[in-house]
Amino acid sequence: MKPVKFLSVETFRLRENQVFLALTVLIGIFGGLSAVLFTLAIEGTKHVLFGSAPSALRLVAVPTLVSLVTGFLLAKFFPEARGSGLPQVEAAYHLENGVIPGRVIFGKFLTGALCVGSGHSMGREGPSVQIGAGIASLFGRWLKLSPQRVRSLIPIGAAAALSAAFNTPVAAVLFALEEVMGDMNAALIGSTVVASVTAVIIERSILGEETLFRVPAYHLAHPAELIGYAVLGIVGGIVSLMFTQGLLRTRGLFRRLPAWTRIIQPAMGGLAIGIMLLFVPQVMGVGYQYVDQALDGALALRMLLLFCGAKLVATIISYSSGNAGGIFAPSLFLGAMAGGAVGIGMHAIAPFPTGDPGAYALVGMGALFAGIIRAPMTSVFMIFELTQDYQILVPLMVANLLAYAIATRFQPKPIYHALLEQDGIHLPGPASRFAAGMSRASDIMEPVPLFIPEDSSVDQALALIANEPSDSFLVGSQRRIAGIVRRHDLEEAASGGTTGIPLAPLLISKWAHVHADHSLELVLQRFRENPGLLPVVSRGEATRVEGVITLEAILEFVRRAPQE
Amino acid sequence: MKEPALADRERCPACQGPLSGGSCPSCTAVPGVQIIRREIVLLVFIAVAAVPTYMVTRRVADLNRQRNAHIAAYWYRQGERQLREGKPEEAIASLREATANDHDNRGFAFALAQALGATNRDDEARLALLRLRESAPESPQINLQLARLSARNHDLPEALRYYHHALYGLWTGERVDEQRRQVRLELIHLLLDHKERSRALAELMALSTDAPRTVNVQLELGQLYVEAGDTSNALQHFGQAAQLDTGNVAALSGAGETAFQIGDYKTAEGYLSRATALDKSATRAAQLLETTRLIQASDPLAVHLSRSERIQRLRAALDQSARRLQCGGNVSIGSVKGPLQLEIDALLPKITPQNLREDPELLAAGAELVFKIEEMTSQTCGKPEGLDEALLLAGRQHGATER
Repeated sequence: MKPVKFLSVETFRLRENQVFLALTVLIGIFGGLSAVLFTLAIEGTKHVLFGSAPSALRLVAVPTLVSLVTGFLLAKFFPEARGSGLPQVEAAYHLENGVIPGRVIFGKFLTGALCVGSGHSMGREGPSVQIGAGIASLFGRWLKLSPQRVRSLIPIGAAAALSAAFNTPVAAVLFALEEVMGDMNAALIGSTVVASVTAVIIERSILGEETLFRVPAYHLAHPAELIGYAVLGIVGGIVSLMFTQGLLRTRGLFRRLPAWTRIIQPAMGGLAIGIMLLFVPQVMGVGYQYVDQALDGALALRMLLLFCGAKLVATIISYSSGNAGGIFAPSLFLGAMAGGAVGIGMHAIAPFPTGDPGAYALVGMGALFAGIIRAPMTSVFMIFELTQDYQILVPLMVANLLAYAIATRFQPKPIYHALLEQDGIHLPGPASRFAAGMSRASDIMEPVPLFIPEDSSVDQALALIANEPSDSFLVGSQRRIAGIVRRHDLEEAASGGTTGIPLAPLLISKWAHVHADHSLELVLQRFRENPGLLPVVSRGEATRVEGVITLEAILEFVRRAPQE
Repeated sequence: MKEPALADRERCPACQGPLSGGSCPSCTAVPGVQIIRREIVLLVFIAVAAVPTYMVTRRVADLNRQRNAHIAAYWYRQGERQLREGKPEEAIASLREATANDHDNRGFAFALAQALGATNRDDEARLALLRLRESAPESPQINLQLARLSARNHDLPEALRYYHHALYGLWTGERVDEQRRQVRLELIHLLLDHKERSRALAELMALSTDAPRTVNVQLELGQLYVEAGDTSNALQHFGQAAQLDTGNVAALSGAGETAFQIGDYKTAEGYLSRATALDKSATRAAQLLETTRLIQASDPLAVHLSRSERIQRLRAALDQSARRLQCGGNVSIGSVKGPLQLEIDALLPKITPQNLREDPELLAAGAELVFKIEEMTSQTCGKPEGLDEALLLAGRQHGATER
């Protein structure tokens, strides 16, 4: 039988890194394409269903009837495709090793396009992220990457999709790190950047260079105007609270309805939306054209207030009733309207010069995003990326901080986590992520109990380890490790009856190691590559051993770790 | 029982455990070569699949763009129709739909801005125009609309800035000079409305250098020069208009009036007489003609007069001044009335051919007294008429000449 050719562990690792890099680029391409296709599908659906100037009957009938269909699909075939998609992506990342079933991708695309295209007041970014992350997960599993690698593809796919859907590559990277992973120091930042940039290149090559919004030129009219932005932050926090509380409570009500109604709940929401469309058609779908108008300062105060209130109610109904669509775009819509209204108000009453209402609408978008989505860094960079103007940073941070603080004070659980908890899924909180992220090899390692001298024979080595409980031992000295030897191998060699056999042929010379400051996550990953023990070596002198990590030490650390 | 020793090639590269049938039972790792071959094949497959997916997406995007352009054009037509029907609010809503469906179409965005401006929604119109201007700062139309909005909001410096941007913008199409001329005319009117005569004159100079030699243009220029206070240039342009159309009453009247204003009564008489001959209803021209003739007939200092004629005119002028002195007047004239009357009384007997021959200054002294009385009484006794007006204007003309 022809022997199977194996590559060494090092070669294998290199290959996997190369595969990962190539896959990152491909995920960027497909993430971008999927987001663009999803956007086009929504527009196409909307055009087919409503035409150019829909009648009143059509406005009511379309969301109701289409929601009947999507309700059936979501109940019978794609239950994971309900809602935004972002909570599901986070759950997949934190709890399911990055596994997003292939049918979810298809189901989300289909039901998302139908729901948003049929007039439901929902966003396209959340579904795009779920589709992008799903594609990444699918590719990783096709390639039989390790579960850890598949998991790490999730934020890459999410960043790619969001980058293409919102045309802000930097904010997309930050969103993937801040919201999906919950770790701004993640080692995946390079890969997410590659995927995000690839996706936005793809998106721009198809849809053009134009930004999503026509953002007004920004300037702070007077230093005292920061008071106006502080007011906007407070208003943003209150509106965020109204939205999150309203959404969670209404969704709770829907969830308490009998199980058999689950299939018609989206249609109930569709009927309510249809009736709303008769009076305020501006709440239909994503609604970015009205955000544009608010940024233009083209909406009067009463229109801004009406749109803000109607969108808030419509989005709560659409989402709570179990349709497929996100809350990313609605939060920006609410922010633009609330911001524009505050801008007009400030202009009327402030004793100092104030900027255009459009500038307030822009900052309001960031404030509501920070208050609802709870990704303050992403919101700052997103608006900065839209304006490309440093002047906006200070007002933006003032408003974001206040909105975030108010929203967090009265609704501590972030909206996506709270939505998952309604579904009985508990994501690891920041505290547990912190513990995992901050635990170091130095917290786990123990002193090396025994070094087998390098020039020992097998017999001598066996005599040395006779009273030791471990199965693997370091050969060499504290200053220099020659390798690792396993008790099992020593005993096998000795069983031949020959004495004085040198130790060298039994040594495992290629072994993984960690440094004392390496994370627990890396320790666990490297531990699997070694036979039963992992040396902790000095950074300054890589051959010097500082300690060793054994399975027992890890178990002891886990036992000692504080419970969440 | 101890397991037999294994060679490296019989161990799993991942966990170092024994292999069974080429694969590792303790972990799921498979032979590296197989992994890499499978990975390469799959990666190539995914990469190749990206190409048709990209093409399809691009095609769908193109179709979507075409459809949006079609919808935008529909809403644009609706907006235009609604504007024509006097439904500006509905038109604005339609035009907004048009721009929302076709972001790239600057024509739609411009139409929306114009509609907003037409409905006095100046702030919105200004923002929309500024947005358009960001991508086309050289557009004369956008700058012109911004200038008009600024002018409407009495922001003269801003209006001037945009008018100049419009004037020196990148004009395209036919009749570029005519379009530029119209913009400059608009600017001149704005400056005149704001009493900025010197700036208006500067623009007028620029306008008249390459203005076409047509009656209407020259007439318009003449009128603008009059409004800007430059009667000499006004006369020149009215004169050119009259030259181009000898039967044009407006040109003749304009030329006559401006000649009258600068004191060129002979020229004025020529133009005014032609104007009144052509149009009997030209009352203003007729009045000016009458005054012009009276001035020429009564001015004692006019050239080419015989001594007797000059004496006759001076005496008549002094008599008229004496009569003018008798007007009600106010306290201030009351105090000088007596001495002036005494001066007239003293001077009148001296005005003889003999005295004038011996003392040529006597004529000047008499005329000066007449002009002084007419000037004084014009301020205290109301607007002079007839011979008084003629003497006053003649005096002013001589004063200006001396100056």
